[in-house]
Amino acid sequence: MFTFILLNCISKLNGERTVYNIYHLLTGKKSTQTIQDSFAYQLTEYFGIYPALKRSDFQIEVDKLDQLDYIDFNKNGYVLVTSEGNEILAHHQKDFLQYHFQGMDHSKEVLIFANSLILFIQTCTHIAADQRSFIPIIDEQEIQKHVKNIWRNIPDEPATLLNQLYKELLMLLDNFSTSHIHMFLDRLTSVQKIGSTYEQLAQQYHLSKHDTYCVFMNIVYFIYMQLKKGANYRVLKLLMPQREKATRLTASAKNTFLLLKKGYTINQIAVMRQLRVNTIQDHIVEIAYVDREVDWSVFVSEMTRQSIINTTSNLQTNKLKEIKQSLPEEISYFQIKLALALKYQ
Amino acid sequence: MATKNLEAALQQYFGYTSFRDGQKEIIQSVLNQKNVFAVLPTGSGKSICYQLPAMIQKGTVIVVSPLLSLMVDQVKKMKALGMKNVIAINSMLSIHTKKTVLKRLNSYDLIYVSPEMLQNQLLIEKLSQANISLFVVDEAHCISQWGHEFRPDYLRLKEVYEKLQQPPVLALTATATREVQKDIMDTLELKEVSTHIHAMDKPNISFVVNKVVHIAEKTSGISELLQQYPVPTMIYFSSKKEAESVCYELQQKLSSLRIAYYHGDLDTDDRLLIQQQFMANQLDVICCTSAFGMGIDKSDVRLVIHYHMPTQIESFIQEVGRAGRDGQPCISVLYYQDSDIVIPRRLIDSELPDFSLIRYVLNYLFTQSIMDVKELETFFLQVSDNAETKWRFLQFQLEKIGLIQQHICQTSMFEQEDVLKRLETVIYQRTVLKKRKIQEMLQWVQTSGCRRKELYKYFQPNVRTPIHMCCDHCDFDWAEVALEKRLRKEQKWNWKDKLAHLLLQGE
Repeated sequence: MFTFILLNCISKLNGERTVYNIYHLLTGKKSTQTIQDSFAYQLTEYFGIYPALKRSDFQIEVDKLDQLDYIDFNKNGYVLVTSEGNEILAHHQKDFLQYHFQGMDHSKEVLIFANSLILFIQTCTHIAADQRSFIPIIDEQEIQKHVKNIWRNIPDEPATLLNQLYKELLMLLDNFSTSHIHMFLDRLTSVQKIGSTYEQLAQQYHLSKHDTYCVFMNIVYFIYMQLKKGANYRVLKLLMPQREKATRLTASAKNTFLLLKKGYTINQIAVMRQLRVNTIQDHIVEIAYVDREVDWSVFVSEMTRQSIINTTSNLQTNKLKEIKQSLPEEISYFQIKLALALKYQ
Repeated sequence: MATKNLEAALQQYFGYTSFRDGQKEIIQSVLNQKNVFAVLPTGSGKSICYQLPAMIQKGTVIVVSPLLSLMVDQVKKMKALGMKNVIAINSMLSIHTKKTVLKRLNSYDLIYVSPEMLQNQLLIEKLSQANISLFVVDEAHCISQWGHEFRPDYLRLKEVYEKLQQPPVLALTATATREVQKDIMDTLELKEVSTHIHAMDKPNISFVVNKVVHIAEKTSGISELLQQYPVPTMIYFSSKKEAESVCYELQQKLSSLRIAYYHGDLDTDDRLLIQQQFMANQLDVICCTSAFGMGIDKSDVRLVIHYHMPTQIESFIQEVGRAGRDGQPCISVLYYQDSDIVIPRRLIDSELPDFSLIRYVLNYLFTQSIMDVKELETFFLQVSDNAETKWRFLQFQLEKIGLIQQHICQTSMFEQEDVLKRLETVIYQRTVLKKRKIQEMLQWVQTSGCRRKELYKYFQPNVRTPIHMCCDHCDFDWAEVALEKRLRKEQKWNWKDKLAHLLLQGE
């Protein structure tokens, strides 16, 4: 699964980016460039789905694809899918229908949800079996607090909860292939058994540890999205994190946004924050992906915007340089980036 | 407290019906407000000796413990048992949490602190106002220059202890040679000490050393051994890489056994899973570095194998101590190949900075007149390829001579050449000591005498009679080994049954 995600990313990047852009995408790096790219190349679903991915591990996977001749690098060092790679992708096209990732919008919450589910099952089964002393399998304080809170506010008996959870999972899991369900279940810890590491799952199911991670998370994303859509799974719903959706702006962009809302111009903000005008412009592009309320025509007129969009679709590229060269000189890079960002609002 | 009540308290808080060897005498001395020095072997329940008094006495017990992970483990265990007023204060706590904790110090029954944290003036001030009923120095051997795990920070304990108005002290260790024992008492200047030294030797273990000609024979030997004795086993390595690669090799060769590796590079999730799998008998064999074992309390490990020789006798004793905690017969097997001697020497080199590095860094410090310690640290880590252990060593040494004071380097008071000489001397002494330790270990491997007597001779004059076989130089014979084999039961489920089983449905 991980391989296909990589190939899919590389394919969509159209030979216009390096593999490290993909690494930043998967680990959810909060930078203007990464966020812009994930929109421009329609990769938002993968944004931040794998924050624990190590750079060295990522490199190993890329090298593997290279050795298989699925990918190649052009003279700029940008990565491309070869015809062999495209064959593989085409062959597995229908697999992608089974991918439920929604990283850009939900990666943070889904990770919390996944760990809460794991800890909740461990807690609930232990208490149901009257074994009150156990070492939590999830170490993060935030998760432990979350689960404790849920636990405090549930009136039901553990046995009732488990039975309900059983019914809910029975229904939801039925959407997946048997091997994926087994991997999902093997990862979980209960009073009956300790869960497996992703590496152990990989050995058992003859996959890579990245595959087994993605298989597990894919199911969690599916469950989470079902709940988001309002499906009524009573126990699972309890586990959804309560907190506000984390805005995806970088901290610095947030500060710029505050000043922008107060009516300061780009130049004023740059002076106030002692930053370069370019940096402030990057922040504004970042904001353009998430905010509808700003009057964007101050920065790029409706007409200019339309001509940028038209040029982009004619050229079939997201390479700024090419787009800029095909447009009148007075249209700036900033305006182009902004127009592209507004396209995805 | 009457004896009976002690046992009742033990049952109430920890669920044990009786004390293990040595625990009760120590606890009684502690409750009688005496200074106590105790040597208790690994796995004999050292921590109960202060955890129980913390529960039944008024006031707060302070435990200085060198290992972050160990502290955190202990706190988790106590909380799991229902003792909630315990905390570990260490560098990992957020500033906010630290503040809250400091405000309500008196409400804790037991506080673990790292020795570094005891440098924090605010903490010391707050502690000196609190009602401290007992000051525990865990792993007290770290205080000694001659100990195997000397921690410079431990030398400052005495100062702290005085500021706390000298509550009763409990100094605990699992391994201390007689030389180190004396050093601990001298450093802490403990008076009227009640001493409890429990025999270190383990009558239920047998010692075997397997010398091999080629490295590859180690793995094949281990594989044959495990084939014959599929019992709970720990295999110790001094390199993470080899722990992994041998693990993979064994997995290939022994498909009927469940084998995993464990070392410091695993992320927290995986560490917790592997540890608990081993505890729950879902793993048979664990290939690990010394990072594994701290806080692991598995009673039925039958085989401890050393793929590499440890760097000192003390580590070896600690590691084999994890076998047979239930008192049943167990075996230690150490593999040795002539080139192994290079590895511990390499480890020493990775711990102490070499002279040329020191000269280079001092030159930078004196010519650039660096003030801020942070800046020096950055430079050091840059030129030494992130050798953090070496940096800590250097920092401590510079603090000790007063060149670093309150995070500021004061070079003007010193001559560069003098500083260099002093550092060189210390490094030289440490190197000599560590080499001596390796030599002792090597002598044990190569001895022709009784391994049991030779191993424990640094710690105690006699050893007890082994309950099974002694060692390969006395009476050991594989034909006589009777380890209870564990059969692996595996069930094939369809996923719905698996889910039902997991969630306790329909059984």
